[in-house]
Amino acid sequence: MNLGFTPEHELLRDELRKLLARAVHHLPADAGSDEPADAALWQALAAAGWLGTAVPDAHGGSGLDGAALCVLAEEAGRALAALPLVASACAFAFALRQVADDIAPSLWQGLAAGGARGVLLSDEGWLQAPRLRVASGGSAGLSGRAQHVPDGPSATHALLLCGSGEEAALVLAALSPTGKAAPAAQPLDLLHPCCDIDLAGAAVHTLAHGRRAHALWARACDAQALFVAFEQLGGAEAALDAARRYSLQRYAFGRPVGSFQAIKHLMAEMLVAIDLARSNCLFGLAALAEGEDVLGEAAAVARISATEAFRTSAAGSTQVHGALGVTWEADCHLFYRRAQALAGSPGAQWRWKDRLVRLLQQRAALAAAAA
Amino acid sequence: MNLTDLPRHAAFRLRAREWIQQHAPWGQLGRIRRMRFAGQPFATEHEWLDVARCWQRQKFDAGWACLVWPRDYGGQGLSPTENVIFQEEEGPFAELYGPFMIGQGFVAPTLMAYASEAHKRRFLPPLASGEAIWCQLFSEPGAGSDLAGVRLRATPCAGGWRLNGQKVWTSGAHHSSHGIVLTRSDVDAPKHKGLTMFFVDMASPGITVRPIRQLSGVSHFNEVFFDEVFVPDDQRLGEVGGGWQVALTTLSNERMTLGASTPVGFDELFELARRPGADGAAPIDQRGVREHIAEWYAKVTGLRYGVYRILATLERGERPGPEVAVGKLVGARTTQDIAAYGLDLLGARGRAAAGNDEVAQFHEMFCFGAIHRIEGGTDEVLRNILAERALGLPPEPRSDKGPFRDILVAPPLG
Repeated sequence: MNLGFTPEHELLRDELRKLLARAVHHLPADAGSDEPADAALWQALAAAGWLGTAVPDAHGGSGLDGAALCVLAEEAGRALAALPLVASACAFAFALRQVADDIAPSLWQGLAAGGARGVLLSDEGWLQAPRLRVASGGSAGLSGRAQHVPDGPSATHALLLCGSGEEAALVLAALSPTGKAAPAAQPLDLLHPCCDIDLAGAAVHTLAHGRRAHALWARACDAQALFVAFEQLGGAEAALDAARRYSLQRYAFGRPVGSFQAIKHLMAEMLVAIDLARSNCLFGLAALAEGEDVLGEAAAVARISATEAFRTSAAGSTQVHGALGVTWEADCHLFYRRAQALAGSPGAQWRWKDRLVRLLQQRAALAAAAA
Repeated sequence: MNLTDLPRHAAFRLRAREWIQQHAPWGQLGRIRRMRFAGQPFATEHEWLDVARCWQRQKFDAGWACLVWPRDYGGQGLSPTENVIFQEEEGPFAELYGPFMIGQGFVAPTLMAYASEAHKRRFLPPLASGEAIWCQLFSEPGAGSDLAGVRLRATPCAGGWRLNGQKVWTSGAHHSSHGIVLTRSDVDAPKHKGLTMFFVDMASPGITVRPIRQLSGVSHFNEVFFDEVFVPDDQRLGEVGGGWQVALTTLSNERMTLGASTPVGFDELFELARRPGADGAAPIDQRGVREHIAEWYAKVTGLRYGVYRILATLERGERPGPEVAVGKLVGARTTQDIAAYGLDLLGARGRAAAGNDEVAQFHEMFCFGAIHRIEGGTDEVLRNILAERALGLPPEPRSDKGPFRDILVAPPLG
């Protein structure tokens, strides 16, 4: 059987984890307004080559595969990095790799060096009426507004699908600084600010039309869902690790609290949810590599089970930490908020579930027709 | 959909598929499907056993039985991966494994590890062909989750041992030719040091088997009484006082086998939810129903790919960790939840099966879910295993150290 990471990917993970251990969680209030919040770590990741993981080697990147991006996403989640790693270095760069020759070398170089950062405007809930207008001279312009875009404040570029059917176009937009609103106030997730983006004034590059645009976009969105699932998995594991360590240090009634069966079983349930999510995520990785026809289903189950794992683990870890868990003295609150923020996007849970059942219904109908 | 097959496994899968297509008992398919949740669709248990034995014999003769066993003992010397692939291809016919699961899945690995070479060559091939069925005489009225607390006494005598006491919840004892039995051979030793394992001929004088009626109404398990039962010493498995180590071999196989093969009822629920009711609307069109179905499907795939991860570990020559307990823990609870939800969807129609196979199957699933959360390691035991062995949390405080005879038992009732 063929599920899991190779020893080479595990070596990459070890290196990355050391670097991400420097992540800073309590940042100044204005951090992340137009640069990645943990700017020092972002530069360190660029210098070590991690931001160019998916950038073709001809343009200064390492040209690695989806598995390396899954490792990057999982470790980003584990470290609670206040950086657009998953949004930009994983999902955006992976999406561009599908049309690598149409992308300007300067953008690839910018992504690898950290000066350029992208987001996918993929969420049905955020994006209002994006429209592409082509003037008679051939120059194109965008209109429309995307709301509450996670990691939007630090983004310089966006990828989106405009229009439907044969009219559809896959569009790369270089965002105008004036088009981005200030980071939204009172964020749920304290590490990844979001903001509205007005697409008017963005410089536009159309990458594909019609059916091809749809296919490229669908694969980009499924891959993004899978990277976010790995990020959730990493977060869930880190929250469980923290709970485990704390439960062995904290004594009550003359025993470590981790020796009480109620606490042990709570953590066992966290482990169970994580184990199921890990299995689904690893299948998603196999589908990303060579299972085009099952990628949609694989991305949906990975996203659904990783959401459950992160929420279960973050809430459980807070519970194990007791009163400490509901203060800023430990990281529980960051996991707790981030788990819920990632549950909501990209794609609300009910949309993923609806989509999964639709895929199952289609498959059953095909099987019935064949029989 | 077999994205995870390596090329050599893909070729094996095709060969298995062809052979099953040609030889499986397709005429019995409807009734075999009903075996999934321990239902009883055959007129008698013997009729069901005949169908199961016939399929097992066919597999054995054609080289598809007990794939992971060494060839000398009736197997094929293949890997656990090939075994799982064959089970996947068997599909509904894998239900016919039921009567042989304990003997082939749990007892045989124990015999392979501890029986003499002569006994292995004599007893394992008939187990593989389905000719012999074996049972596992472990639990007692006072020892279930606390299995090391067994009290059935083994006392040395000329040429062997005398066994006295009672076992309970012994699945298949009523049609088994032999069983392995965990006994207390020394009450002065500490609890885990005074145990010895044997195998016994179930036709031995002094053994009485009585069926117990289960939640579902059927009787798959029994209580078994031992009254001065003689066992020759060469039927001892492992050292005198070393029975706990032997039992752990059996139990680790039990948890893994159950986890890899447990159906959870998802397909049945999906089919039910897609069928339009009298008003033409199907439950699956409701958002609430869709959400449940999606959540359970993500559990089903998580369990399936979890088995693949365990297989990948075995193929690397490593031992799987305590996480193998996840499969059985999640599978049993999910079955119970799905069954209850299916019965909710059926509404008043679920009140009585009245000859309707689908309703009967949800009843069976509902009962099976409760049973499965207890058998082969309760949910609570499995959570302890995960917490202690996977997470390294401290063990439960114990009051059963010291000589076994001093350990407290419940006071008599009244």
